Amino acid sequence: MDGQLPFHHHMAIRMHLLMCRYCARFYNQLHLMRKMGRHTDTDLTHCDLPAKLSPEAKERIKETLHSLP
Amino acid sequence: MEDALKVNSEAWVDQYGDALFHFALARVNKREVAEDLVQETFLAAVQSQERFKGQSSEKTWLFGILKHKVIDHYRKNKSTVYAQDRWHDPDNLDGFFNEKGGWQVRPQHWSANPGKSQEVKEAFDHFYRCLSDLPQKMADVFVFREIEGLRTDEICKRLDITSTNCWVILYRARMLLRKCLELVGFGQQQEVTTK
Repeated sequence: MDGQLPFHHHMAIRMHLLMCRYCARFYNQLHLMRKMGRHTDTDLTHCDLPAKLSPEAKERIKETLHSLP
Repeated sequence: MEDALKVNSEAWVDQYGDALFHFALARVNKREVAEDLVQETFLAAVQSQERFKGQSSEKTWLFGILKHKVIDHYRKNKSTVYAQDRWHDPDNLDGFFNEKGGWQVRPQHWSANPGKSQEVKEAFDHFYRCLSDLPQKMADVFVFREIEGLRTDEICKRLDITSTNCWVILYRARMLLRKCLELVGFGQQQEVTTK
């Protein structure tokens, strides 16, 4: 998940994950947390309210950005 | 601010504003708050633009900033901690493993039905609320690494911490976040005494 391991470490972990379902489950859960954190698909975030910035809000934000020194 | 940068940031509002707003609104359920979060995101992006080196897309980068803002919003506005009172002491993670290195409490199966959009929404709600419950530095490291995808050296530079410290904090953040998610309903919690 975080970088390359030396080959023997990598193989040892892969072997353990094949044999230990709880560690394999943990490993999958770490990946799921990463996936959830990186998700931006707004279809999956499910929102009932009209979900677009109003034109007024967009103008207000642009004005604020424009007024930055 | 340079004129080119101003034009760029205003174009961001047209290009990404709706997507950012939709995401923020789904998290906070209030238009005014969501608008504020989106504005704060663009402001932060303009102020930190030199840090964006193109490793990810502009959209991914802006969403990373927004997610940080959402977590900070939860942290400032909650009246009670989400699940922290049921956690281990964040500085002591020995309770996760026994003396032989085996699981003290085995990871449970997590399930959410992707076909049930309300369940998925609740899962994301739990995720961001649990993140807001982490101690600030742990949440920062987790967001930088897991959400924004920064390398460790970049995280260390931003937070002025050593590489070793960064890995320890990230490990703790992952363990505690996972535990919080199980406590709030991702899995069926069972106490298992391992030999």
